[in-house]
Amino acid sequence: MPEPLPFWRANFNSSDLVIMDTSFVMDLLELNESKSRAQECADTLHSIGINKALAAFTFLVPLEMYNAIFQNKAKEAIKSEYNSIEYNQKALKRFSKDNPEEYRKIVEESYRIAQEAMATLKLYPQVYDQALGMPGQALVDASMTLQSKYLFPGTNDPTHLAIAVSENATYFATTDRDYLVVNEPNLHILVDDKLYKKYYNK
Amino acid sequence: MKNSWSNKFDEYRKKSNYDSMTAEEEKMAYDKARKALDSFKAKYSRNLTEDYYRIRKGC
Repeated sequence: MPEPLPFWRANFNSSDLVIMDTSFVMDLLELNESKSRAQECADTLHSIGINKALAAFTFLVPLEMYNAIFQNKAKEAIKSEYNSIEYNQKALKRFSKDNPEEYRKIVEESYRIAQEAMATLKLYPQVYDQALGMPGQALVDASMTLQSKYLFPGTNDPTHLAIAVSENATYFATTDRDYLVVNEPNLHILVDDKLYKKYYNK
Repeated sequence: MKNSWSNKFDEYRKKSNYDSMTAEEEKMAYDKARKALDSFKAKYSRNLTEDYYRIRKGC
């Protein structure tokens, strides 16, 4: 099975299409924990640009990003409102019922940040300006086939991958360890240095 | 490997002048994008790793 490559080992050229996973985009935007990974993602995007390759993202990226921002804000608000209450769907429903205006603010603010994130990303000329992936039966079938093949823990993982495959992408850039098992013809998995060294000890 | 580009990517490359930008245009575009990225990070940088994984992995 071909190994994933660390970002810096990719040799992009003008015929390459690089699909950026949500984890990659969120790291680039420093919405995840590591500043060094943010820099690696920025360097990779830069390398895509100077080599005239194209980067693109699936329709799931803005949705997953919105969800992560929303949940983070909702969790903080629920903790503040009810002190030690656990964050779950029941708590979220209770909060939205008790504080409809604040809940609306959290939704709108999270949406605005996710929109701003995507607008920032699209300023890079090497980033294709439309989200990829057409929801429908073909995508469901392709996702389920890949889910059966790789047994991903998350249901969105195979969908990102199915879109990459259907678009004939040559690279899939991610910081998510769950893609290390992927072995699709002509698709190279690119990961950050820390993740690569952890699993391949090089 | 040559990617079998679909029309939409070719159209984007044309529309955005991606392949024909002068060095100066390229520098301006990247400077603008980098500035926006720095501004976004300064405003919103936070650790959402745990939330991201919970959503993504459904746990």
